[in-house]
Amino acid sequence: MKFLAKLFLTFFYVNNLYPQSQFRDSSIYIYPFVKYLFCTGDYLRTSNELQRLIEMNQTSVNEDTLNFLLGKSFQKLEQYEKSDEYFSKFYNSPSPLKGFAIREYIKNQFLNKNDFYFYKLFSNAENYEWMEYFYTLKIAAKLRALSDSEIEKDLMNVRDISRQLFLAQHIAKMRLIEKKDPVTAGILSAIIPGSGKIYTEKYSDGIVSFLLTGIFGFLAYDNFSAGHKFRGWLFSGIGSFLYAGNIYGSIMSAKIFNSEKNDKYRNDLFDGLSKNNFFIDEIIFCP
Amino acid sequence: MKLFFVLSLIFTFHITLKAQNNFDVKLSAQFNYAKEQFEKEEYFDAITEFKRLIFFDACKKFSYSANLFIAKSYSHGGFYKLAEEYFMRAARFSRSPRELYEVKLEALKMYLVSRDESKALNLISEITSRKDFLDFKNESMYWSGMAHLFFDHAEAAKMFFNQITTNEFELFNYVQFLNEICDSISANQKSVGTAKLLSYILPGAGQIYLGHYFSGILSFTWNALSIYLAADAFSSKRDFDGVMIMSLIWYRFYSGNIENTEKFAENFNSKVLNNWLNYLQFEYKGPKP
Repeated sequence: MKFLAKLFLTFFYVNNLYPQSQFRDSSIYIYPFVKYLFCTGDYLRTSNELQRLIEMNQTSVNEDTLNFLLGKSFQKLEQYEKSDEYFSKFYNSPSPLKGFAIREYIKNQFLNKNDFYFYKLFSNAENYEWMEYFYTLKIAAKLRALSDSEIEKDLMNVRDISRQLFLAQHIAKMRLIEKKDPVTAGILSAIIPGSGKIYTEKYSDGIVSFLLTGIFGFLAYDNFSAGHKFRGWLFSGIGSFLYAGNIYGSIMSAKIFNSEKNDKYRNDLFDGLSKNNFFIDEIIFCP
Repeated sequence: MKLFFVLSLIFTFHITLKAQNNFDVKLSAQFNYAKEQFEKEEYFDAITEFKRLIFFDACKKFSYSANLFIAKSYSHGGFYKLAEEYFMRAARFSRSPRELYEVKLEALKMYLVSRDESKALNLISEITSRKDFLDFKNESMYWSGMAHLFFDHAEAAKMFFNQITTNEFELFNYVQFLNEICDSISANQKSVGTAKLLSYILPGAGQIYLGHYFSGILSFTWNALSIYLAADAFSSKRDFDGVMIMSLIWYRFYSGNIENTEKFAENFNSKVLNNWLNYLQFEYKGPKP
């Protein structure tokens, strides 16, 4: 009888073991869902759910993991200041994620183009074991700004061969970026219409400019010589307008040429960094 | 011992059944909650809750509805690319032609709102040509007509509306009215071809035909002036000057006049269409995107 009573009690307990609460209210359910959101790239909802989970204060999941995921989610959302807030919590933490978090923090400064703060932080970071990582991104930041001041000195501090090779290649590429001087382009076009465009490698534009300005110049001269003043002035007006446009166009063409080359270089650099995951080992959250 | 064995068996069976029931109840409750968010137009929360439902619904019992609601929520929020992705997922989980048809219809409504003409027209041809959608022929004709009306193809829209023949179709009364709208659009819009032809023959005439008198006169003046200059050059035996004026100055004004006419005609027709679309949006009581 005693045994049956015990059995009944157990039965009653187990019968009500499955909580009636909804999936959204229980921390047991939220964390796996957060991982699902994170892995499917829905970072906005990941951050919302994580914040809710932290507020609940009843999760069995390590708080460092939650902070790291929050930092990563905000980083993916390009909300770098908020991301910093969560990664910086690792500064005085003994967490095994500390090394990763600090790297992500530095990466945030780089991605946020926060170069001034990035250098300041770098100068204070000499005691950290991930110093080499700072140098890598410091050089990358200089390359992005198309500056090579003291870059070799910085490169000496990067010992990892693959990083060294990557950076050295990009330093060489940066030095070889073709540049066209806008003033030269303007002067060339002022002397021979269209030659500034040819200098900036816009060959067809240059030929059209040359022909149009030449034709209208000739027509103006020819009409004035023949005493047809009205047509002379008409062609002079149009010709002068085209001549001025040709000079302005050449200056702009040189600027566009430079900006295209610089953008291409910056994109290559960024693609290279992304391909290498910014030289941070990936923590596998997603299966 | 026997009693113990039987009791254990009942106990295990009961727990398994109870657990499954509890889980199903929770999934249903989650679905209702998510749907409630959708109905309250809290689309962000609705998407979160439907995604939660999808995550926990291992048997994929709610996959079709949840994906469809997510797609509709994204569509309401203007995230058309994401909506499209979830419409495709919903279509994958549809269990009957009716469900698949629902997905296609909702996607079509989204393309109408987002003004994606090519995708809408492709979808229409798919909906109207599928044999398993024959049961929804009248409804699909209604929406195909509506889509053509939205994209300013009044004649094509009428063609679809006229294929709705049975009086039993609940939208039949609306169709009569939509046909009248198509007629009104066709009657009030001006032909782009006629306007351009007028401008080809007499620069500025196309603009005047469309009611843009100032632009028409200006266009005519520029063309006349450049022709006069060319004629003057030819008469002074300065043929090269004449050819240059014709090719570099007059041609610019002439082609500009035609482009200008085309733009004015398109704007004019858009205004006529937009007046009716405004009416459909705010006054029309029938189904609309």
